Order: sequence, then structure tokens, then C-alpha cells
Amino acid sequence: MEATVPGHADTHAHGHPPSGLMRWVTTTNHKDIGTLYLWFSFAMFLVGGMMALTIRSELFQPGLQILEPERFNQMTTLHGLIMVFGAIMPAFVGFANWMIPMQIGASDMAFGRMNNWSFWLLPPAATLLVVSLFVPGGAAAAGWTLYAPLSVQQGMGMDMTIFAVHILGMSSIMGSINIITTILNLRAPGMTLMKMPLFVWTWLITAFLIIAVMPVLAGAVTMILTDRHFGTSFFNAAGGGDPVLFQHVFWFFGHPEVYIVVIPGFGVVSQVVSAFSRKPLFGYASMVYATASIAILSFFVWAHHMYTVGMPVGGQLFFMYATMLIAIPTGVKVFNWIATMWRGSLSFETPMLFSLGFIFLFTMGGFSGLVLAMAPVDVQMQDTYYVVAHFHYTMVAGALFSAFSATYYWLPKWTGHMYNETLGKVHFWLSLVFFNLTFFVQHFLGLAGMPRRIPDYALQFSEFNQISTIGAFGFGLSQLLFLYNVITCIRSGPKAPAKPWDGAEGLEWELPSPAPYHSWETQPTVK
Amino acid sequence: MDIPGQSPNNSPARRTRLTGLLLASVALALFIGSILGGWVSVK
Repeated sequence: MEATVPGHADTHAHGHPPSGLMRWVTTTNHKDIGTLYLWFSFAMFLVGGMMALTIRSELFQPGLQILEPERFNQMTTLHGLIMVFGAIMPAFVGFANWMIPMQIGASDMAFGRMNNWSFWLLPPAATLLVVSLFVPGGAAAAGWTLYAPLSVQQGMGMDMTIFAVHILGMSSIMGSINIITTILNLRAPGMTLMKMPLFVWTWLITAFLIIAVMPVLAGAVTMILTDRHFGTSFFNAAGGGDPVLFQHVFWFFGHPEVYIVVIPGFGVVSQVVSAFSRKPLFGYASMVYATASIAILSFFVWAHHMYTVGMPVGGQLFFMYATMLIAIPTGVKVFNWIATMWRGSLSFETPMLFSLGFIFLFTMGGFSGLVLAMAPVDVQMQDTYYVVAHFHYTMVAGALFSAFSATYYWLPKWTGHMYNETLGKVHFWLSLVFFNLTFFVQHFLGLAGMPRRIPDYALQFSEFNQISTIGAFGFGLSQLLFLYNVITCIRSGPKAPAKPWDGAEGLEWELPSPAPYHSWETQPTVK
Repeated sequence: MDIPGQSPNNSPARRTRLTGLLLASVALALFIGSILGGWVSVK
């Protein structure tokens, strides 16, 4: 792809940001808002991480050590909600804000003020979730899935969680409207859909998924709210309602949500693997179609999360085979990433390492997903630590590793400075080792029958739990290296060229580093 | 973003606003639809 780039002076055009706090409160600039999203996401990652370490501390040995069982359940619930809605989703919306306008040659997002609002809804929602720990009855303790009838019965912490989920959902929907509108309407001349970078494509598909399922989650929690306070009985069996209905509605949202979290990561990995293989991406069109296939299939597999509710065999078979079908487009993607590397001129800087870690570990998470997709096997594994291990391979080694890859890849463009490569590599290897130490052993715990969401366990599970807890603390501490590396990069890293990675392709690398506050005010022409 | 001389009915700014409105309407319809669906299934 070639681009005719306007003169350097054009990209530096008018206006500097207002200074002080009000710059961040009132900003409509996509780069500012992207930065806000990314810092907010990292703060939530630390909060959710502290909750994870509290959970792992309790599970270091059998018996009750530091938490009451009620508090333990609140911790697992908030850890899940904060990591999914507060850390991972905002991280990728942050990348989208920073990169989509620069990658398609647009001057900004389509709706600047709505973009500002989308971000500033997040801090109040996060505050509601965290503060709910301190209200009478404590926070929601029904798990991040908020299953009825537990969620219909709990105290005011549940109301705060419902309100927080409404706000987070609104933020996601508005962010998605902005992303789709920007991509469909503001592309530079010549930037046809099939010339868009994979990160833009994956976000376009993800944004459609969000608009399709977030309102359903909002509907589900609204029904819980009316059951709690307004006399309805959607999920209350005593009033003629059906608690299993909640599971159907929740997982109609919940399974596509898994892909909402990971599909932008596919885009990041596609671009990073291509850049550090110094080759165009193998099978660009098939990548796009595979991503769209995964997104479409994700609407037809929700009940594989609820095989044990008493579903007819025909239903189990349908959801089992539909789930297994997803392995095909996912396999296409993994094949394409490997084929991109084949005979490439590979180098292994930190973004590439995290992307390779993603491919290897996410594929492992995919395989354990296939195991769980089989109804007769899942009946044995349901609600065991095998499930916990499986989804952490997709969420942590999948979404989080790709987020680290994206951060290291684009950090020079954002800050104008290079990060410390050695420190980045140490961060990767420590994360890789401690991640596996934490979660690989949980497969064995699950296979041996240890249930999830319990603060105490039988004595025979002790050793693996101790290994897992040591791994979790190692993983958590390793992330401080990342924070240190990012801060030193911003403050004093060596100056970065416009294109620090010689194999990188795309319009963002035509801009100077750091990217000017206003970029592409004169649109480039893509040939 | 309106371009002088171009029909306001087909301006890029109008298309952008319409895309946003259409997507917002879809989201609202799905929200109401999911609650109505829940109501119908337990009625």
C-alpha cells in the first residue's frame, strides 16, 4: 500500500491542547481519549489484579485464612467484572481510539464529544463496583455472570453492580457506534475496505458484535432490577418466572463477549507478526472472512455454557457441533500467522514475543475449549478449575498478551521514545513463565474435581494450589516491570524514528513520532 | 464537514450522523426487544 502524504507542516496544523486537568476532562481528541482509556484500563488491571491475589492468597492452603466465604465470593465476582469491563475492553477501545483514525487516514473519530462521554462514564461505573464492597451486605457475590436467583436476592451491592453494568454497557455501545461510523465514513480516498489494516477490520467486526449483544446484557440486568424492586417475576420461580431464562439471555451476550474481548487482539497479532516477519500477512482476505465467521458463529453457541441445566439431547448436540465449528475459522487464523512467519526474516523484539506467546497459549486455550465443548465431558468439568484454566488461557494469554504486544508495538509512535528492549523481553519471559505456573496446574485441579468459586478445598488439592498462588504473585509483580518500562519510555527513552520497525506497514508509520496532536487534517491518498 | 456546493441531503456529515443514528436505534431496539422477549417467554 502506498500513500501520498501531505507535507509535514500540514500534520502539525493549528492548535495545541489546553493545559491542565481540563484538557483531559473536556478533550475530544482521539489521542487524548485513547490515552485516558489506556491509563484507566491499567489502573483497573491493578485493582482486579489485587483482587486476584487476594483470592489466590486465600487458596494458598486449605481452610479459611483471610476471607470470610461471602467476601471471597464478592472478590471473584468483582475480579471478573472489573477485568472484563474495566480492564480488557477499555484497553482495546484505547488502542482503537489511538490507532483507527491514524490507520485509515481520518483526522479524528466521527463523534468527538460522544467519544469523551464514552470514556468519562467509566470512572463512575468503576467507582460503583469498588465502593459496593463497603456497603451493607457487601458487593455482588453471584459471580460475574450474575446468575438468578442469587442476583435477585442479594443486597444493595447488587443494585450498584446493575447500575455499573448499565453504565459500562452504554459506554461500550457509544464507543462502538463511534468506531463503526468512523470506519465506514471517514476513510481516506483509496482506503477501500479490503485495504484496511487487520486491526481496523477486527475492530469493525467487534463493534458490530458489541452493538448486537450489549443491549441484551442491559436488558437482562434490567429484568433483574425489576424482579428485585418492581414486583416482576422474570427469573423468580416462586412468581412463575424461570431462572434458566436468565442463563439463556446472559450467555447470548456472554459468548459473543468472549470474542469481543479477543478479536481486536487477533488484529494486533496479525499486524505484529507481519511486521516482524518482514512479509505481508499471509491470506489477508481469509483472515477477514475467518474473523467474520467467528463473530457470526458466536451467536449460535451460547448454551454450551449451560449443558447441565437439563437441556434435550438434540439441543446439546446442536450447541456441541456449532461450538466445534468455530475451531475451523480459528484454525485458519493460526495457520495464516504461521504461514506469514514461514521463510520470513524474523526478529524477536518484545511485541513479536508477546504475539508469539499469544499464538501458542491462545491455541492451548482453544483446545481446552474444544474439550469443554463436548457435552458429555463438560458435564464432568462444569464449574471446576479446568474451566478457570481454560478461560484464563484465552483472556490473559489471549487478550492481555495481545494488549501488551500492541502497547510495545505502538508505544514509540505514541510517545516519540523507544522503550527499554531488554526490560520488555524480561517482562515477556517472566509473564510467560508465571502465567503458566499459575494456570496450567489449574487444569489438573479441575480434572481432579476441585470446584471453582470456593474459598476452601480438600487437602489433596494443596500442592497445585500453592504452585498456582506463587505463580500469581510472580505474574502480578512482573507487571510492575511493564509499568516502569512505560513510564521511563515516556520520560526519558531514546528518541524514536517515524518508523521504528522496518517491516511495519500502514499509514500510522507515515506520521512523525510522536504522532502530532492533530493528524491527517489533510487526508492522504492511498494507492 | 459540509462541502460547499454539495447537496446537504448527501453530505458526508449527514451520512455520518445517519450512520450513528441508525446504529443507536438498533441498540435501543435490541434492548427493548430482549426485555419484551423475556416478558413473552414467562407470561
